[in-house]
Amino acid sequence: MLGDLLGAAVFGLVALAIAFVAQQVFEFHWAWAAAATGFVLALSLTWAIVSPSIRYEQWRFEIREDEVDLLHGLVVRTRQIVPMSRIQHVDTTRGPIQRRYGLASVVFYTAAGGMTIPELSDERAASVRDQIAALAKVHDDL
Amino acid sequence: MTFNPEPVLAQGSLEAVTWQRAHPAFMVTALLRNLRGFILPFVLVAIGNSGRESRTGTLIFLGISAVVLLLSGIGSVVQWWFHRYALTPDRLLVHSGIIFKQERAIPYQRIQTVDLEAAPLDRLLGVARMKIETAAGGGGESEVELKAVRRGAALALREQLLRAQQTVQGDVAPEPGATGQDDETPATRVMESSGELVRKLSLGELLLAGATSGTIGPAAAIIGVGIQFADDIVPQAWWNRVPWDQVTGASRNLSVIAGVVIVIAVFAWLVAIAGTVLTYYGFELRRDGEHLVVQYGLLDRRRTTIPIRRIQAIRIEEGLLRQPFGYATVRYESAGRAGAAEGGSGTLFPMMPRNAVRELLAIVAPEFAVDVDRPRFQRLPRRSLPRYIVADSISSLFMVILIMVGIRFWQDGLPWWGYLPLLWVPIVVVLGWLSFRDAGWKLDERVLMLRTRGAARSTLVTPRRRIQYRQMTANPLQHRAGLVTLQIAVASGDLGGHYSLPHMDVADGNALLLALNPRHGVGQAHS
Repeated sequence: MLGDLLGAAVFGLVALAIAFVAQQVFEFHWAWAAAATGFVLALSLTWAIVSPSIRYEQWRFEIREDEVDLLHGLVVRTRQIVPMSRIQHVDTTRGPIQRRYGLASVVFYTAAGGMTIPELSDERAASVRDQIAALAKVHDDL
Repeated sequence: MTFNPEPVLAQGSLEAVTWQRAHPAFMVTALLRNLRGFILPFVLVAIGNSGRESRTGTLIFLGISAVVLLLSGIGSVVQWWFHRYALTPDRLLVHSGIIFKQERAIPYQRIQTVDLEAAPLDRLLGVARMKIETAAGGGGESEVELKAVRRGAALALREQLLRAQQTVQGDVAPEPGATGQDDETPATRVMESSGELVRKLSLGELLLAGATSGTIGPAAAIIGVGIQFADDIVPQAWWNRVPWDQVTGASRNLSVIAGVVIVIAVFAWLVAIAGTVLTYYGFELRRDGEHLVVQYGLLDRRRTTIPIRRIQAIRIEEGLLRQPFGYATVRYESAGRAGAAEGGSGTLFPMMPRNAVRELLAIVAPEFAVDVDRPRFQRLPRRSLPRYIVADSISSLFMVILIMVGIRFWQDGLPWWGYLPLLWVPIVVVLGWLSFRDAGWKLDERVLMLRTRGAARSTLVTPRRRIQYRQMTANPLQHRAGLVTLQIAVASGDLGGHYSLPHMDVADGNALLLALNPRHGVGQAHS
C-alpha cells in the first residue's frame, strides 16, 4: 500500500510535468492544466488507497506436495502452477518498507523465469521458503 | 601456436598450465573492431570539411586521425597479447583485457554449445571465432568467445572440449575420430563437420524458401539507404535538372503508380530471395553422437552445436505461402543458449516437406517425433471466434481509412483504385477465422502440442516434463465470456520460451492446467 502511494505520487509528478509542457506548448489557460493534473492525481490516489486491499483479498496460494499453485490479479486474473521439480532455488526478499512492517516476499525461480508471493509476515515467508526448498529438493529427480 | 592437447590434459596442477595465445590475425580483426566506432564520425567530418578550403582544419583532422589509428594499433597488439586461454583437467581458462581484466574459468560440464563462426574476413585470414556458451545465468555474461583461433586448431579444440565435457560428466566418450589433431587440414575442409549427415537443404528448397519467405525488412532497409545515399551524394545540381513538374504530374497517373509499386514489390521479393540464399545456403543438419550440428551460410558460414538432451521444444511453422506447397520450417528451443540472438531458439531445418518432419525428428530428436495430425487437435469453443476477428479487423479498418484519407488529399479526390485498400479488411477477417480454426491443443501421456496461427501456422511440440510452469489468465472481457488464455513456459535462453493459446474455454483450461502435472504422465522418470 505504501508502495502504491509512492507510485501514485510519482505518477502525479509525471502528470504534472506533462501538463506543464502541454500548457507551454499549446498555451491554453493554466487552470485547465491544473484541473487535469488534479483529476489524474485524485484517480491514482483513489486507486492506490482502494486497490491494495482488494488485491490482497484476491491473492491465494497453495503449496502442495508436488506443485505450487498461485491465483492472483484484480483486473486480469492469473492462475500459475509450478511443479516442485522445476524450482531451482527459493529466496525471501525484503525491501526497506517491508522491513519497517516486518514483511517479506518469497521469490522462487524456474529455468523459464521467477515468481513472487508478496507481502507475507517474516516468519510466514521464512517457513514458506523452507517448505518450498525442502519439497523442491525431494522432487529433484526429474 | 601449435596445439598440443595431450600434455595439458595430463597435467594435474594449475601452475603447469600451458597458455595459448590467439593467431596473430587477431590483431587485424581487433584493429578493425577498434576503428569501427570512428568510421561514421570520420566520414561526417570529411564530408563537412570537403566544402571549405581550410588548411589548419585539414591538418587537425589528419592529426587526430593519425593518433586514433596509432592508439587503435597499439590497443590491438596489447589486446592480442593479453587474450589467452588454457585447458586444465576440469576447466577451460580464458584471460583477457588489460585495464578491465577478465579471468574466466568454465568447468567443462557447464559448457552447453561450442560454435565456430567465420566472417568473410576471418576466412580470408584462415581463422575462426569460437563461441562457447554455458548454462543459464547472467545475460550475455554466460558466453565466452575465443577470437581468431586457427581453423585447424579450432576444430581440434572443439572436439577436445566436447570430449572433455563428456568425460567429466561420466558419459560414454565417443570414438576419438580421425578429426583429432590434423592441424594441416585445408581451410575449406576444416569447417566441414564430423557426424553423420541427416539432411541437406537442396537448391530447389533454398530458392523456394527465399521466394516464400515474405520478408520485406531487408528490402525496405536497402531502399531506405538508397534514398539516403541519393540525397547525400548526388550533387544538388543534378536534382535541379529533374523536371519536377512532370514527376509530380506522373505521380498522379495510375499506371505510373502501379508500375512503381510492382517494381518495388518485385525488388523486395528478389532481395528476400538473395537474403535467404546468403543465410541458408548449404544448410546441413548432422548428428554427432548426442549432439546436433547445424551449419549454413554462403559468405558468413555459421555453425551451431546443440546437445540433443537440451532441446526443450520443437516448433513446426507453416507460413501462409508455404503451406500450400506442403512445406514447413522446423525450429527448436534449447535450454541455456544465453546470448543467442533469439534467446535460445534456432532453426533446425529451414525448409522441408511437412510430411517428412516426423521422420527427421525420429533421427535427430526422437523425443519429439510425434504424429502431429492424428488424433486431431482439440478446438476452441465457437464463442471465441469473434475474439480472433473483431479486434484485428477494427484496427486494420482504422489503418485502411487513414491510408484512404492520405490518398484523398494527395489525389484531390478519391479515384476508383483508392478503394482498393478496403480489400485488406476481408483478408484480415479471413486470417482471423483461419487463426480460430487452427488454434487448438492436444495432450497425450507424454507430449503436449499447441497450435496457433499468426500468419504462419505454428505447432509446438513439447514433452510435458519439459514444461517449467503453466498459467492461465483471464482479462475482464474473457472473464465475462468464460474464456481464458493458457500459457506454458519452457527453458530457453535467459528468459525462457513462452507459448500461449488464447481464448480457451475456462473449464478446458482448468482441466488442461491440472492435467499437465508432470507426475500424471508416464515416462517422465527417465533421463
